[in-house]
Amino acid sequence: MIQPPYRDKAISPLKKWHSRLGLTAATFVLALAFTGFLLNHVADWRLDDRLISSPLVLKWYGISQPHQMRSFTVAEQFISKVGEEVFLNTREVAHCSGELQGAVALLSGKMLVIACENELFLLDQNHEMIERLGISQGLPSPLRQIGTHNTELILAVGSGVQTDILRVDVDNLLWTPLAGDAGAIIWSVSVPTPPALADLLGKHFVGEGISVERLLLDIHSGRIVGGWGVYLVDLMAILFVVLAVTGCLLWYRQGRQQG
Amino acid sequence: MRAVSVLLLIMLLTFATAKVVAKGVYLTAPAFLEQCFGTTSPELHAHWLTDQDKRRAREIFNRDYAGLRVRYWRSGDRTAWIFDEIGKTQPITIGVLIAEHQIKNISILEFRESRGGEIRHPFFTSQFVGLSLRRQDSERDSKAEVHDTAELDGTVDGITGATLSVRAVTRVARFALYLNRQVQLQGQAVLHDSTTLSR
Repeated sequence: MIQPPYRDKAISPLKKWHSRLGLTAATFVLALAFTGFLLNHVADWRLDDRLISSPLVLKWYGISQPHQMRSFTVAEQFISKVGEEVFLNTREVAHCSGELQGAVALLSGKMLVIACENELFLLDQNHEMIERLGISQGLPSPLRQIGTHNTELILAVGSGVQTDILRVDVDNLLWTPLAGDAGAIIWSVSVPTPPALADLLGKHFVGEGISVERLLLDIHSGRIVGGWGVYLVDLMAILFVVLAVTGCLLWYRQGRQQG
Repeated sequence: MRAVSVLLLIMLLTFATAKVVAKGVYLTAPAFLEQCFGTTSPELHAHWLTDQDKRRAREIFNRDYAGLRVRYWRSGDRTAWIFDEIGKTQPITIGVLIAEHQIKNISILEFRESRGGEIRHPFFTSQFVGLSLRRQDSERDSKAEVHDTAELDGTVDGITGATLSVRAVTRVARFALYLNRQVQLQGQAVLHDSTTLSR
């Protein structure tokens, strides 16, 4: 059917741009709709627990075995931190976000104390967690070092040049400045991680992979392609607004001309 | 066309200002304790978890509780508890004050996740005030007994987009109420034993 020329003049440019933008946006709409749908059901389908260990995806995320691992020895055991997990040999015993600062044995080896920057973990002789002490329990932070002095637990606390040496009573949560000779303190010092242990922990770290939810979130937000992907998704959002507006205008004008 | 431009500008500004910052320390532990006990200094106690406590903790948290003892502060029959419980991926630091086996105050001390920080507002936390554990009658050895369940005796409305954070606060509220009951019972048992011995 041949349209009268006056209709083409009013609608064609708008329609042409609406179609072009629509085609450009279509792929993004599908990706956003699909990922959005799945993200709505993360908890129901446990997508946050399902891990992707595909080498291609891990490579894309730059996940590889950690180059440097910090370990400490206490009672002939290695305490290491990989990612945010603290390991006693190969057993995962705690989760801490700050730097691992050391570990000491107390009460003739009946208690093990592991120090991270903002947390202390007390473990019994079976390596069961007795308790985690954090800032909420009054723990001074940031912890710099952990050691012992005449069977007492000692912490070096502070940032920059200001460091306080404190005696710690973990039962009564008392932190008192050390009055005696600080030179007699036996500090926990880091040691090289044995290659076999480093390899095992590294494989464990890589093996965790990333969750399906993480991948979906990154596709949905555009972060999968880096920082500029977010701006690309922002641009798409604006495009969707333009499409909605031009679509309404087309519908309105066509209706008026047909009327 | 001007109307369309204005509409676009408004939408752009809305997108630009829609970022919600939820992370932060809202209340320090000393401030929370001062809020709970006023000028009275509460005593710090440690409760060692029994096998029954561990079973109840597993029922409440759906996992083993990471720890053999729990710290709490006490003054009279008021007990205050501070727990770190994972919402989605990060721990939320939650403080609970209990008196007469009822929650008197629940506060979010620190929130570390990017979403769900609305749980810190009183419109949500005030729902817990007055709640206790639901009691259940049971027949055992021909005696009618009353037991606490691990469930709250009232409902708590969720918040859209903060489901996991809401669940974390609810779990902590239930565990704190349960532990409060245990430490109060222990206190009564000690009192009973000492009275019996003095006779």
